[in-house]
Amino acid sequence: MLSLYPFVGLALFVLGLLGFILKESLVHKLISLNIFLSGIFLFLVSQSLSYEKADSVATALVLTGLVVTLGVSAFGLMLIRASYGAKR
Amino acid sequence: MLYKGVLWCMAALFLGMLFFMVATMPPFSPKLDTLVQADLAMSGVSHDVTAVLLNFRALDTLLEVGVVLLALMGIQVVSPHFRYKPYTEANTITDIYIAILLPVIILSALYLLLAGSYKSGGAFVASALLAGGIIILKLTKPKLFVSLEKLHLRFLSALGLLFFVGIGVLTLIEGLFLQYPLSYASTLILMIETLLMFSLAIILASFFINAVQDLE
Repeated sequence: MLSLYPFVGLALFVLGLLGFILKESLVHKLISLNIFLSGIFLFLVSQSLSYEKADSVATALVLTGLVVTLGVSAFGLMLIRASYGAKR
Repeated sequence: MLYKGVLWCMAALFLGMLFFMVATMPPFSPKLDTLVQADLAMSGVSHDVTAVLLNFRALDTLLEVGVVLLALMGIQVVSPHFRYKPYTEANTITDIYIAILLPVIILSALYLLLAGSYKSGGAFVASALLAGGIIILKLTKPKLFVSLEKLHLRFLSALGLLFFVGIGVLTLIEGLFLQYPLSYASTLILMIETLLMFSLAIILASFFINAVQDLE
């Protein structure tokens, strides 16, 4: 059975990667990072579905990844703020 | 302009390649999941994701909490130079709102924590909810936790990780690091989850509060 979710995850991944490379602003880069990480999580979970139930190890992996992403976003935002504050 | 066009073309090609690879991939066979389901009775909890997170791969969770704590340390190093005063004053509407909302938030966080042992839920979801509650409380009452000692706050936010590591060291007496004895597994997991919930909620709320706190 071919599901739509892994392809949406891949599209998010490539688009986020493009934004991460092309955008000048650091906040744009951070948002792109979050988008492509979401793509990876969506791909992982949707690819590990079997009999309509998600694989427990993959789910735990994604849960860990989500919390680490939150830490990365918060720390990244603070660093961006510090760098813009230093420039001014 | 040409450079961007070439990059877009390459991205489209890359995406097409990935699509092709995923479409022709062999179907997923849940090898690890069958192992988890077979040993679920040994883990002390009846939900598979919680069993993986806090028993079979407990080291990952420990390091994850460490990463979050490290992020908080980094934020506290960077943030003191960039704080500004929150624009809040006492207001009947927000006071009544928080008085109704906060008990519900705490109750649902505790429910989510306890539900983690038999269905989806657990310490991380509960701590996110509790952190939201703390942030709302701090936004409506900016003066509330100002008198709290810095050292106590640091101890509280490190408490979950310290307890986790302490349990790990205690389990070294017999067996491997974080290999719980069978008869205590359920109690240990619940204790770790409870402490993790409180300290993670404080860490996650501090991510936000460190940015808007006013300097004393």
